[in-house]
Amino acid sequence: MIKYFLSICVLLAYLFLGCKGSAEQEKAEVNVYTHRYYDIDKDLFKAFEEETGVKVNVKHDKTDKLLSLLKAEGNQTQADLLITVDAGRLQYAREMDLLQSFKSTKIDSNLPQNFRDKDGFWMALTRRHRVIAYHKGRLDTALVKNYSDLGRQELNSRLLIRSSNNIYNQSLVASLIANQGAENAYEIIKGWVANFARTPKGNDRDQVKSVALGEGDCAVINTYYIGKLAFSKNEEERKAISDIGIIFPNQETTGTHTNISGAAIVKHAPNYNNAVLLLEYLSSLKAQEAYAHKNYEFPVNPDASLPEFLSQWPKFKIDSLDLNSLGYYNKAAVELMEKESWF
Amino acid sequence: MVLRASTIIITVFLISPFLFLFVDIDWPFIISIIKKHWQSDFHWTSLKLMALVSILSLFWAIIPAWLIASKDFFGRSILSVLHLMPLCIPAYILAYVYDGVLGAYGTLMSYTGVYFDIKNIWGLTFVLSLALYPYVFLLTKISFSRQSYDLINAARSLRQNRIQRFAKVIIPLSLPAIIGGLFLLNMEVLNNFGAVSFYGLKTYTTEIIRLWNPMDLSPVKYLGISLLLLLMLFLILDYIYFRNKEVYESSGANVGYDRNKLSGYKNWLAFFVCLLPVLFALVLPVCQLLIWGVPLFIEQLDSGFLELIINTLAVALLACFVCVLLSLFLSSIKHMLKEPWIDKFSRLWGLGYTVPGVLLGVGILLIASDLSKLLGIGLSLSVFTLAAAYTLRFNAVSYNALDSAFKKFPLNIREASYNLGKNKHHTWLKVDLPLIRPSLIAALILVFVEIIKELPLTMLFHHFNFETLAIRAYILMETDGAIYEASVPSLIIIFISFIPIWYLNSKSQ
Repeated sequence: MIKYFLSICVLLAYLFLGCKGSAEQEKAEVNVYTHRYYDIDKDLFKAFEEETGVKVNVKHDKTDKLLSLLKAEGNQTQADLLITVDAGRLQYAREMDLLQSFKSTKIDSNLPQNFRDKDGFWMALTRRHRVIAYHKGRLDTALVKNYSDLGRQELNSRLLIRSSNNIYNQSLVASLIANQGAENAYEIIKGWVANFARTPKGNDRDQVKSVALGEGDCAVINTYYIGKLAFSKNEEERKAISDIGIIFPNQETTGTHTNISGAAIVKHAPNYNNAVLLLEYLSSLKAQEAYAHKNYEFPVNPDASLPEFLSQWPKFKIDSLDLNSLGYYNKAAVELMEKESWF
Repeated sequence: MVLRASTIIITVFLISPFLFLFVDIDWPFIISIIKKHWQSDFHWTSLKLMALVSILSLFWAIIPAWLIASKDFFGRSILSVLHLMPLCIPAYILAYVYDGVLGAYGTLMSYTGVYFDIKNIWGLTFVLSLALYPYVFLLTKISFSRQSYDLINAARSLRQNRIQRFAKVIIPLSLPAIIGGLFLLNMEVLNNFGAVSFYGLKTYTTEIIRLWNPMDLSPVKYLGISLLLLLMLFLILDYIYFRNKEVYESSGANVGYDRNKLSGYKNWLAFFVCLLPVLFALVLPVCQLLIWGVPLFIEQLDSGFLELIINTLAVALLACFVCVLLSLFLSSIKHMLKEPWIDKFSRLWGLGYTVPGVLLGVGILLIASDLSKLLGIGLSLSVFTLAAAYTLRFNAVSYNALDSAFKKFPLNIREASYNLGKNKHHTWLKVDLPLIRPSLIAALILVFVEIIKELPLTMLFHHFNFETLAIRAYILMETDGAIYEASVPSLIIIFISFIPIWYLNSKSQ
């Protein structure tokens, strides 16, 4: 018995040492730490592999955990690229000295200035806007023009929004602080929390479904969820979206809150050149159109076409705030939300 | 000497993630943080959830355990196995399935138009108790079936009726087992992240994730310390309660019930009472997963999926062999040398299992960051990192299985061997090892099943392109909140753990 036991252990050890050894010899690869879990990412990586012969290795997790991991790995890290779903966290990564700047004329020509870090530490992959989804039959749109209007008394117990530990909400609040100052931002949040229809729970998709079911009349959500619901495999979800309209807030003031999903190159990246190659690919017209057509995110390459679904939406003004400020004000945002006991 | 030195080294390895929680802490700051957090409601939510899940789990576990241990009725032996099977279903999958069945736009709504919002503490209690009651069931059933029949007969002759006998003799005799089961269950409640956050509640684990700030992990550290303090409080209470109580270990011939056969309505009543938890915890969710999953099987089962299964099995096997070898070493040392300091050390060997996996992960990251600053060598992710993390966490499971096997050794069997002129090593090989063989297999299986389901450490420490089934299931659910997409990996997780548990149960009978 014990003999078998030991021989199996030795065998397993050899097996894994063998795997590791062979992986280290291969150089035509790029290793990606990503917070994005979407099918579109898999498709794009696969297309990139076919086009360049460079293999893309992926590890998924939440950005905060990935950043702690990068810190623990130090110069031993295998990671080349870091992909996040928020600009603020890219700023964090830079402050933690986990990134290196990169330069590529292709990326510079593909993306406008505001979707690249001015020091070259990150670039945007897609943009997302935090908008208000409302029930067409139950909400008078004249009531809600700005984010601050969600705190109006008329909306008491009618507002749905997800938890404050969600980074999209943290960055939205950070942008309010950056644009309007901490005191005004606090007043706005206070109004929201007073109007919550229920304790925040579920993801953005759940908020829309709850509006459709009548638990609330309006919800704060990211744009691409509307596309995802409208083209869901689930018939009920497609039905749910039919009564839902969208408001683009702050059109007459700062513009609708804009965040990005972005990418950066890790400081100790072993495959720097391949990482740049992948970033160039992801900013190309082809990849940018795929993001828009398959995942309903807005492209950051201005030449990329929009799918019919998104091009039907009215043109709206977007917030031109420096995206790094989402990181600068994150801590203040979290504190404000905690102060108001936003769950 | 070598043995003692390695024991110390292994102990340091096992507690290292916790030592680093206590390095460079600023006590006034920690007290201010604990004060601040004490006002927030996650402590009470955690405690309330633990209490509610315990109560409902007792309801699911105690009566069936007693019926199965003491009576004979239709379907008894198959039900006895089925009550262990919910252990194969990770709690987060059960949580998503129940929301998919009862919640908005779920299965029930598509047939009847009615839906229930179960995303609250009551719904979560229901789901977690179904996922976790087998811990209580298993230990309680074993204890019931080893009870001394003499004592129950004595109670009968003192004209105690059925209910009095149950409340005054049977339950008190099994109290250590019930509390042991509840302890395991509550550790799991505290550990859970997926189900709790999906149902919108705040517990220690969800707060650790929420306050996880990569720039400054100190709030997480302090949360960890206050959680350890709470656990210590439980252990002290447990110690005080059992300190003056002799645990009555029955011996001799009159152990266990000679199960009398139930007939008529009693037969069916017993069957239905035992079926109820199985129905909710196993049959219903697995059926729903099959309905969602079968059409997706062909679409999802490609070569990549095969790799996923191989990855899962490979890392689980590697880690459970390491875990069991380590535990075998530790428990052998403890019982062969019988030195008091080792006995004291042995209390630390299970620490990794008593805290949430996430906290253990933070501990490992903190050590690695410090080491990387100190030596310039950081953590390097490989299958070994993952196996080491699993060992830190699940060593307790295999160690407890082996330790209790060693405790049951006939007292003088080793002395007999020594008297026959055999040395310690030879005795260990020829006497100890053959005797604990069944427990070795049991330990392997228990650790294996835990690893297959494990999520937080797997997410954190898996390396590139090394997804496991649990990760795939979680990612599919997380992406779009589309549980039906995740049904294929979920079903395979359940199926893979089914087989060893079935084997284990058939062996033990």
